[in-house]
Amino acid sequence: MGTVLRTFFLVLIWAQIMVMQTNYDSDETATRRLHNGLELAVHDATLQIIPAELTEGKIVFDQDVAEQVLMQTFKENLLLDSTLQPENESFFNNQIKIVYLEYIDHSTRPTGYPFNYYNADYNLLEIVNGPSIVAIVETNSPRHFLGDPPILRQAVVYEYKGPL
Amino acid sequence: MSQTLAKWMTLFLVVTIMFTPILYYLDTLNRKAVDAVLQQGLKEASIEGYMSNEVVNKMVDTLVNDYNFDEDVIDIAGTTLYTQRKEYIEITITVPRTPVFILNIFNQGSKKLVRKSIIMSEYVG
Repeated sequence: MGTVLRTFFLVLIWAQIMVMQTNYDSDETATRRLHNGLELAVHDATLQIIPAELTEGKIVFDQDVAEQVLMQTFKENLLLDSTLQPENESFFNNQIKIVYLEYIDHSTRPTGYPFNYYNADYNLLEIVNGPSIVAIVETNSPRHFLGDPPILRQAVVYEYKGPL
Repeated sequence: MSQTLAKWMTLFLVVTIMFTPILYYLDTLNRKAVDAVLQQGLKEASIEGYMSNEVVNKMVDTLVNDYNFDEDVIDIAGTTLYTQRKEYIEITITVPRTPVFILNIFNQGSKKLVRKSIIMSEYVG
């Protein structure tokens, strides 16, 4: 009887520790993939500039195309559908929302680079050296076990790289 | 007799319990390593315009030297032709997963860890 009880409690404690561990692991992995996926998506979006403006030495993002490309890469890398709802094989369980998207380029800010970019709503501080795109996404953590899934929020500021 | 049997059966549980958390953690760290290497590889491939041999060697080097993977088991596939600016480059890294349960009597999940991502080329040519 003693052995049975001991074993029972051991398994119980073990199960609880494993639940905690897998939950934290889900949070961590989801945060990392969210950030990496967004970084690649914003990278691709920064390549979409208006060529006509470039001939005048200005970098101006083609915002419609940039947003399309951002969504396209983001969807492909994180396995989401067109409404950013995760597909079956995706790591995520909950819809991902793009909560903030800002284009900093020569049409909105002709001079004055580098500068300290500060977003008070999301407490985001970044040194911006040139035309950039700022994107913030959030989702609920895809935890396997019950528990309050925390909101994961990731921000990426990516600068235009390419021929001037 | 029954006590001996009970002790032996508990032993299986105890051994599993002792090793699962650390093995699970190892699996997590492996996934983290592959993610980090893939992300870095993609950015370098984007600048070069395709997944060049240098990019592949660098990724393999990092996985082998920094993260202790066996060189023979790493499989990296991707776009090996020059890709125009704004076209997609793809890289896939496949490595075997380490076991989560030390005794092979439970379902271990998939045998392989596959990570695939795409990025647009920055190549101008």
